[in-house]
Amino acid sequence: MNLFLQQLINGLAWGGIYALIAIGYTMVYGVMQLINFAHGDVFMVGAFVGLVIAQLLPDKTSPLSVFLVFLSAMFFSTLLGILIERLGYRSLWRKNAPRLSLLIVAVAISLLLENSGLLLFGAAPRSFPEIIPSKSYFVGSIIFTNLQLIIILSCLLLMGILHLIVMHTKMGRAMRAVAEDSEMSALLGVPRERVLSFTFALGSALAGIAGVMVALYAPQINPLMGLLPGLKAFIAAVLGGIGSIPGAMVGGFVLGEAETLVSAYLSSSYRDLLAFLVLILVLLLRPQGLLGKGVVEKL
Amino acid sequence: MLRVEEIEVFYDSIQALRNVSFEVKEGEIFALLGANGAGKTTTLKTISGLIIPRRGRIYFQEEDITFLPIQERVKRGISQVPEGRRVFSKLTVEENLLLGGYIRERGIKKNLEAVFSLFPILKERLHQPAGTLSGGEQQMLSIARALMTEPRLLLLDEPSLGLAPLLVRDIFHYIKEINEEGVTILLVEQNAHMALQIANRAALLQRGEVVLQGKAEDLRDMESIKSAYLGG
Repeated sequence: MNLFLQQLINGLAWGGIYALIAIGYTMVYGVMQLINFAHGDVFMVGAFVGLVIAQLLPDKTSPLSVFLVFLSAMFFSTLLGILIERLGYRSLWRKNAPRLSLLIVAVAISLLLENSGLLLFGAAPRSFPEIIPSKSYFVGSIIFTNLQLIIILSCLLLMGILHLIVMHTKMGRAMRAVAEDSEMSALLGVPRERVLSFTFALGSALAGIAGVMVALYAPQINPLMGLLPGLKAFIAAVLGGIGSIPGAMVGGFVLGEAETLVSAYLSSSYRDLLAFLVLILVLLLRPQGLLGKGVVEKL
Repeated sequence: MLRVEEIEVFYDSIQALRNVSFEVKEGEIFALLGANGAGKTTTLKTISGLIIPRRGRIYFQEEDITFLPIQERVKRGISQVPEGRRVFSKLTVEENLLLGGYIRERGIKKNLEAVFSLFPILKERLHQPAGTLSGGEQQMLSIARALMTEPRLLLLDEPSLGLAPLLVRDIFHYIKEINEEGVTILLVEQNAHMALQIANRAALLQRGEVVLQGKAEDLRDMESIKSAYLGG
């Protein structure tokens, strides 16, 4: 029982991280029906921005430094997300290009970012400075670390903020309108391109923060680190129901927990296998996902 | 107010509109009639900016708007209520209305009040998801949402479609009321009988061409219209 509880706590941190990345996939899918496969690499860029800034700061472990590392990672990944939409997708979207063309661009941007990372930082993993000195707490025989606690609480806080933005701001309202009926929102004068830009910015900010979290948790990073968590977050989004923000949160936590339990009770080598097994099962049995609704394709 | 001049629209290689011209005058209700597939909706979409014509020009208050983005047309006062109501079903009634007011910086409260005095039922349903409204209420919401953009010209696409006969009468009554408030109306309808009762002038589209145009009462009396669209 204790082992089980321990694994649940370990899984929560990964779950929160998957959820943060999955939200970006699902929001972009909502407003432009695109799986933005470059999203995992935005997460990687966030981690590297965090590394560069952490190395520049003199007093790495002060709360201000930690704040600056997260803030700069968020800032640059937001900027990158906006650039990706602007330079990569917008002209195709304006021309109403087939979805496949957009998908090809997504893969191209992903490769571009990964290889730029390899060129700049090399393929060897880099260790991330310990800006939050590790502490462990015991509750009975269960251990958890301050880092796990910080990750889980920040994920919940960020999701709360996201909820406020999406449900209670003018831009959030416009996002939901564009996701439900893009053409109709255009007929009301909603600036759809600004909505797309905002959606990419929001998703990328979360991915950038998730990048630093993983960098602290791992604690090493490399330019291809976005690949697997990116794919898994995408699977989490599909599991929750692509296009649904609560779905992405639930999907992220479910996948994080499932992975941790599989590595604890079966073997850690099955960990990566599990995510893809989940993807296949969801697509076979419940393609709309846990919280998604069945969609009738419009002709 | 609105002048459509010789527009031609193609879907790939299929021609949907041929040389369509007509003029809507300020303050009137102009009805665009015709059977399914005659090009009525295509004409509206070309005016609201969803479709750019291959040839021809569209003028709104003497300004050439043929290539203007949709949002700019909304700002100038053109608002389309599309066929099938298209309310945002997951959003509340209030959110739907606020989206109609998206481009307006000021006067949203005042516009809301105006809309509620026309459709009091919407005030009662304010915090309900729009998808839970009845068909008639959704049509009212769809029109109310368009009114929130402060239109000078309202484009209505088949507002009576799928509604019970009693509701159809209500909707036409509302259209008349909106018109009396000073909003010019371009009405697309298959229900020619009802449309010709409230319209000042009308045009008849057939296979993408305007085949008749004139005062509504003249069209009402025409034998060809009677037999084809008014059921004898």
